[in-house]
Amino acid sequence: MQRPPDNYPRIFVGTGSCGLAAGADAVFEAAKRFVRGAGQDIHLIRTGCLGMCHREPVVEVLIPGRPRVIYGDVTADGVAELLGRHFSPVGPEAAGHTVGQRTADAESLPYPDILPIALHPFFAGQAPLLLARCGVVDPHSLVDYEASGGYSAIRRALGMHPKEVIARVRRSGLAGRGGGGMLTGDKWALAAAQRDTERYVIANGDEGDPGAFSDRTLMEGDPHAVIEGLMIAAYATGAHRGYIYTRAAYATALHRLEVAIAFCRKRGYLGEGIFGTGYDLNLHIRKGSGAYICGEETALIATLEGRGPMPEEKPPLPAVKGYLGHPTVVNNVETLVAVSHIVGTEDDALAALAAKTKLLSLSGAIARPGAVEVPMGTSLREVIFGIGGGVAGDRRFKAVLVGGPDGGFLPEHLLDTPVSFAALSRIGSTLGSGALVVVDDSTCMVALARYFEQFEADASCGKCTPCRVGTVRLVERLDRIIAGHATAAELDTLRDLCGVVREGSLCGLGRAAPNPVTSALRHFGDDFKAHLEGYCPTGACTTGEDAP
Amino acid sequence: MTVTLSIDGVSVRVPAGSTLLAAARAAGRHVPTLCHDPKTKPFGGCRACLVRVEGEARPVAACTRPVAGGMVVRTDDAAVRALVTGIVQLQLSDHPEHCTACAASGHTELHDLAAALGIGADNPFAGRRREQPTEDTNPFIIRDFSACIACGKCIRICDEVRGVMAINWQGRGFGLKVAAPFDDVLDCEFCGHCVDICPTGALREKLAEGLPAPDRAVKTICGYCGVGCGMLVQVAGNRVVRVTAEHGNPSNDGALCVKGKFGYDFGDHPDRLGGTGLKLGATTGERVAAPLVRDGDGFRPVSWDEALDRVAQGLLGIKRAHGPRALAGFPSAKCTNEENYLFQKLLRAGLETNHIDHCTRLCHAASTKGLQMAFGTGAMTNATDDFALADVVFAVGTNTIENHPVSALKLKEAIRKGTRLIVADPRRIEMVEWADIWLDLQPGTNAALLLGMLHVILAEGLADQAFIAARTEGFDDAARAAARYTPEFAARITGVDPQKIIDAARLYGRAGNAAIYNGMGITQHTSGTDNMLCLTNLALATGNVGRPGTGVNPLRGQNNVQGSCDMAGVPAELPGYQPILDPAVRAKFTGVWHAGIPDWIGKTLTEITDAALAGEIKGLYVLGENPVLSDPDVTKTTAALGNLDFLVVQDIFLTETAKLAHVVLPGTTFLEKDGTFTNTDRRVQRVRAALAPPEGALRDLDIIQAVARRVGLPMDYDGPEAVWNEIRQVWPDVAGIGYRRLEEGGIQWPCPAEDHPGTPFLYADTFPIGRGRFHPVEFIPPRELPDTDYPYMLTTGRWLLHYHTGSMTRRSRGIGEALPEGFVEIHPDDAAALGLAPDQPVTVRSRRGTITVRALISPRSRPGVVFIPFHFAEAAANALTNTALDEKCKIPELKVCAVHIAPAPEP
Repeated sequence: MQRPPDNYPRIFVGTGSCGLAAGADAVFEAAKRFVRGAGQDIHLIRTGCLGMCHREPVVEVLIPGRPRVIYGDVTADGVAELLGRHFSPVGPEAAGHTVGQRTADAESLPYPDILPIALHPFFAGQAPLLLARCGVVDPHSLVDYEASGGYSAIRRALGMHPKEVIARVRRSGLAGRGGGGMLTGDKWALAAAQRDTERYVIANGDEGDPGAFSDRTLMEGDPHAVIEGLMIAAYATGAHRGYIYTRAAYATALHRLEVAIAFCRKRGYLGEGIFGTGYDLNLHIRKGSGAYICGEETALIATLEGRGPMPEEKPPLPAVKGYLGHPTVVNNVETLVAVSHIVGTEDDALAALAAKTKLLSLSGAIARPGAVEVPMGTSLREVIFGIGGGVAGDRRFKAVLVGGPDGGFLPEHLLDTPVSFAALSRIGSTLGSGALVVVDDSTCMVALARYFEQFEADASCGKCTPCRVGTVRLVERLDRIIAGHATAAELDTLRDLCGVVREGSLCGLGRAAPNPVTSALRHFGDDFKAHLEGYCPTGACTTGEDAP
Repeated sequence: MTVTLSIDGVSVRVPAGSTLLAAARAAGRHVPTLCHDPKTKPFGGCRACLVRVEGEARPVAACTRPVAGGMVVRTDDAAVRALVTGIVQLQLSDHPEHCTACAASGHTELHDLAAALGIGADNPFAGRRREQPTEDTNPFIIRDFSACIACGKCIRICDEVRGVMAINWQGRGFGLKVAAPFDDVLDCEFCGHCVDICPTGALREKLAEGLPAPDRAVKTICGYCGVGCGMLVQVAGNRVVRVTAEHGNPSNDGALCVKGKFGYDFGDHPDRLGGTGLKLGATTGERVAAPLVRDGDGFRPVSWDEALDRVAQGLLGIKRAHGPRALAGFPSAKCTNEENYLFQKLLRAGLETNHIDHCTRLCHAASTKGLQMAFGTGAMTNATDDFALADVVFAVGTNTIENHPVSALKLKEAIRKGTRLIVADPRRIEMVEWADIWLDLQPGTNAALLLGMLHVILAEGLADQAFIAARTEGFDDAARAAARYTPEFAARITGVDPQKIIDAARLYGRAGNAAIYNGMGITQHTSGTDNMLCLTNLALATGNVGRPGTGVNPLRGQNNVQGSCDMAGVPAELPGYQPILDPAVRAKFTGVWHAGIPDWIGKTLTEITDAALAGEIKGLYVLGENPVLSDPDVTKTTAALGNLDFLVVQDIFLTETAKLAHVVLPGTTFLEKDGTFTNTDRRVQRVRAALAPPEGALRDLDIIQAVARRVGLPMDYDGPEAVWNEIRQVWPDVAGIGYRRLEEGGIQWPCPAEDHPGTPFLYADTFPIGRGRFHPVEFIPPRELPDTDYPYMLTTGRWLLHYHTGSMTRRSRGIGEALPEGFVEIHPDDAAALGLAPDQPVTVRSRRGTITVRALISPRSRPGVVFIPFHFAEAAANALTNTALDEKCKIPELKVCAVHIAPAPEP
C-alpha cells in the first residue's frame, strides 16, 4: 500500500466497535465520497476508538499546520457538510459537533474559539498513556506505530539480558491489570526461573465482565502495542511461542491483531531471528468461544489445550506449570501495553507513571460513558462525576458496580475510595477489569443483585460444588425475597450461603460470585428490608401479594 | 527429594511434589474426598478435602495442593469442617432425597460423608434439582443423572486411564452433565471402569438391578484372557451381584474390561451342564442336573458314579484293546494349574499316553517354539509392565486393545509418557490410532517385513555388535539371509511403503530399550515359527533382550495358557518344560508320582485330530476345550471326533464338541473353583471360589481325581494347595511360590525359594541355552492365496466384546445382548463391487466350508481382505480356515485362506 505524503490533509474516522455500532462505517463511506469530490488530495484513515463512546461516531480532521479537530455524533448524512466547512476558509465550527482540538503540537496554529481537549471535562482528569494511540493512529499501520515510538521497546529489550528486562519491569512496580494484581516482574521471574525451558506467553484478551471494554479498545486501537508487550514478555521469560487469546465476539479486534501480526511476520519482527537477532518468536491468535470463565487464566489454558473451560486450582501457578504443563506467563492485554511503555523508556519516572495508570470502562447510568485512563489514586468520585459527568438525566446516584459483578456494588459514601487494587480490596471490592457500571436511584438493588447473581450462575463452569450449586441457590433465595415471601431469618441463611460459596469455591470467579449479594446486603440493606416488609422501594419489583 | 511438613501436629516426610492429600494419608489422617482418584490428575471440584494451611487466608483443597517444606496443616479445623458441611449440604440439595441409586448400587460415598459430618435430613440450602432423565439403553450401564454430583471421575478415568474418551462434560454450571458425544446414548467399550469408581451410584451395573445386596466379596482372578486381572466378586447367596476390579494387583490395578466386569453370569445360563435349567431336547422338556451319557442321537442323565465308571471303562477298554497310544487328552488353558497338572498326570501316569496337547497349539505354538529355539524358554521374556519401561514398543500382529484390553492400558499410559509405538497389522485396528508408524502389511507377509527391517538395521549400522559378539551365535547366517530383503523388495511382497519399513527399522534400531509384543497375527501361519525367529533375530541384533523394557513377548490368549503350558499340557515335556525324553527327568517324576511315564513324544493337537480321523487314536478325553470351533476346518474336526470310539468331554456347556461326546461330565466355572492361574507375565495368582457349583456339577479337580482312581492311579489330594505343593516339588522355578505367599499377591516365576522375589524379566545375564541363537529365515508365502475361484483373502481373529468360541460370553446376558451375532468385516470398495448393503447376509465359501453371515462394511479391513471373528458357532470362521501346518510347531494357518463371497440367496 502506497502511503500518501505526510503533508496531505487527513480525515480520521473512529471505527472501534463502539463507533461501528453507532454507524461509523456509513460515516466512513460518506467521507470517502466527500474525499473523491473534494478536488484535493485528502488521506482518509480508519482509527480505533479514542474512548468517547458517548459521542460516537467520532471523526477527526487534520490540516497540516493546524491542530486535529475532533467531531462527535457525526452522521453519514451530516459528515459532508461538516467536512466541507472544515476544509473551507470558514473552518471548523466552534460548537455543535465539535468536541475540541488537539493542541499538543506546539507548532500548529490553534483554531480560535475551539476548546483544547485538555480542557474538556472528559479528558481533563485523564492521563492517556496506554490509550494515547487509540483513535489517533491507523491500527493497521506499522509505519504509524513505529513513527509514534512503537517497536522501540522490544528493540531495546533485545539489546538487554532477559534478566535486565525483568528487573526493569519489576522496578516500575507494574502489577497485573487483569484483576489479580500480582507484580508482573515477579510472574516473569518465576517462569524464567523454571528448569523447564519450553515456555509460553499468553496475552489474555478474553475480556468478559459486563461493562468492561477497555481491553477491546486497546486491541482495536493499538494492536501493535499488545504484540510488542507480548514480544517483550516472551523474550524476558525465554518463550518462543505466544498466543493472543481473545473472545471470538471481538471480531474487529481479532481482525486488527491478525493484520498486525501478518505485517510483523513480513517485516521479520516475528518468526526466526526477530529484528535481526538470534531470537525466534512466533505469535498466534486463539479465539475463545464466549465462556466468561475463559478469562480465568487456568481455564483459558485448558481451552488452549483443547479441553473444556474449567479452571485448575492454584498453585501450581501457570508460571510454573501452565500450557501443556510448561511454564506459562499469562498477562492481561492492558498489562502488556503498559510493558511496552515501561521498557520503551529509559526514564524511570516515566516508566513508573506507565505502571501506575488504569484503564476504566464507564457505562450504565452515566452522562459520559467511555473508555478512560486515569492515574491510580484518582477517586471514584472524580472519575464518575468529573470525567463521566455524573448520573445521566435527572436521576440521582445510587451505586456503582466496580470491576464487574465480582467487585460488587459501592454506595455513594465510598466514592472517595481511590482507584487502586489495594484500596478497593480493603473495602471488600475489587478493581478487577476496571469496569464501572453506574446505577441510578430508579434501580432496586435486590433485583439488580439477583440479575448479576444469575449472571454468575450462568457463568459458572460447574466444576466445583459451591459455585455450581451455590450460585443457583442464591438466585432462588433472592427470588423469594423479591417476591416478598422470605423471612428475616432467611437473610442469615443467605449470608451463610454467600460464605460457603466464597470460602469453598475453587477459582477466583467462584470466590467472588456472591459479591453482588454480599455487597448489596452490606450497603443496601434497606432495599432488602423493604422486600421483607412486602414492598419494593423503587416499585421495580413485583413484591408482596402480586408476586407469583 | 523429600519435604517435611506438619499435619495435625504430626511431622510427616513425603516426596517433593506430593499433594497435601497424599501427605495427610501418609500421616494416617482421614481427609474425605468425592472427586479424587489416584489414577487421574487431581481435580479439586468436590471441595470435600478442604483443609486449613497456617498462614493462608482461605481453606485449601488437599487433593490439588502440592506440599511445601514447613507447611503447617490442620485437617480438623472446626471452621473448615463447618464449611465442608455446607458444601456437602449444597451437594445434597441437588441430589434425590431418597436416592434409589445409592440404595441400589451399594455405593454410598456421598452419604457416608454426609453421615460422618452429622448432616441430617433438614437441609438449609434446599432448592430445585436438576431434572435429567435416567438412561437405560445399553445392557451394561445405567446412567442416573439425577444422582450425579459432577465429580468427573468417570470422565477422567475414561480419558486418562482407558484412553477412550467416550464421555465428556457438556454444558456448564448447574446444567453441567456427563455426556456422550452430542448427548447421545452411551455407546462405548463398556469396560465399566466408570461404574466401579462412581461415588454415588449415578452409574450402576444394569445386571445388578433388583438383586439383593451382596453378603460377601471374594477376591479372585478373571477367567477370560491371559492378562490375569484381579477382581472382587460380590456375592449374595450363591449369586454374583457384581464384579469390581481389584486395586493394587499389578496386572490390572483397578481396571477390568467388558468381559471381566460384565461377563460373569454365563454360569447361570439355562444351558449350564449340571444346572437345573438344562433341558435335553424339546421333546421331553425334562430338566437335568447330572452328567450325561450318549443315548442314540441324544443324551440321558446318569449318576456321577455311573458316568465316571463309564469314562474309566471307555478309556481302559481302548487301552487294553489298542494300547495306550490309542488314547489322547486335551487339557485346558481355561483350567487351573492344579487341574492341568493332575490331568496330564492322569494321562501320562494313569493311561500311559503322551498324546497331550491343547489350544496353545493354535495360538502360540509358534511363539513358544521360536522363543525356545532362540532363547531357550517359551515364555514372555519380560512382562506387560515393561510397556512403561520401553522407549519403543513394536506390536506385531497383536490387537492388544481388543484382546488384552487391560494390558493395553499400560501401553496407552506409556505412549502418553513418550513411548513410541510401531504397529504391524493388516487391519486398521484401534492400535493404529496410537501408533507412530503403521506397517499395513498384506496378511501372511510378516517374515518379508521383518527381514526388511533387519536389512535396514544391518545396512545402517544400527546393530549392537558388542551384544552380538558377547551373547549370541549364528549372526552371519541370519544376516546373509536378510541381505536380499531390501526395503524395496520387502515392500513389493508386503505392500508396505518402503520408507515406512526404513522408518520402523530406525525407530526400533535406535531406541534405548525396544520391546516386541506379538499376538496371533504372526503365529497362526505356516511360517509362524519363522516369523517368530524374525522377531528374535531383531531383538538379538539390536541387543534388546535381558533388560527391562525389551525382549520378545507373546501376549497369551487364555487366562491360564501360560500355566497349562507350564503344567505340560503338551506332548514332549513334563511340567516346567522338562523334556520327556530325558531319562533323568522321567526318573525324577516317577519318584514323586510312583508311576511309570511313557518315554515317547506324543502327537500335537492337529496331529491328534488327523490320527482320530485315520482311526489310530480311538479315545479322547477333552477338558474344557471346544476344538470343533477353535480348530481349523470344522468339517474335518467334526468328522475326526465323530470317528472316535470313545469321547469324554468335561465342560460347563454342551459345546459343539460336547455334543459329539459319549460321556459329558459337568464341570465348574472359574468362579466356582480354587487354585492358581499363571498370567501372560508368568505371574502365578490365587483363584478362589466365589460360588458353589450347581447341583449336578462337580469341581474339575475332583472329577479328574475320581477318573484317575477308577483307571487305577491313586489320587487323593486334600485340595488344590496339596496339588500345588507337589508341583513345587517337581518344578524348581515355582518352588518358592507357596499358597501362603500368594495371599499377598501374585509372584512371577522363576521363583526358586521362599525368599526369592520372583523374576520380572528373563535372560539378564545368560540364556538357558548359553548364547542367544540367530536363525536364518526366508519368506514363505501362505499356503493358500486368493485366485479366480476364491478371490478374497480371509483373516480371522477376535472382537472386544466376545471371547474365543463364545461359549462363555455369548451366554452372558449383557454381552450376548450387545453383540448377538457374527459378521464379516469387508472394505467399502469390495462391498461396492459385490453390491452389498450394510448388514446384508452374505455367503462366504472356502475350499473347506461355507457360512452365511452379515456384512459389516468397514474401512478397518483392507481391500481384498475380509475379517471374521471366530466366536460364533452358527457362522464359524473355522468352517473356512485352512488346516495347513507350520512344519516346525504344527500351528495351523488360521490367519490366511482364500474365500469366495456373494450375497446370500433370499431365504
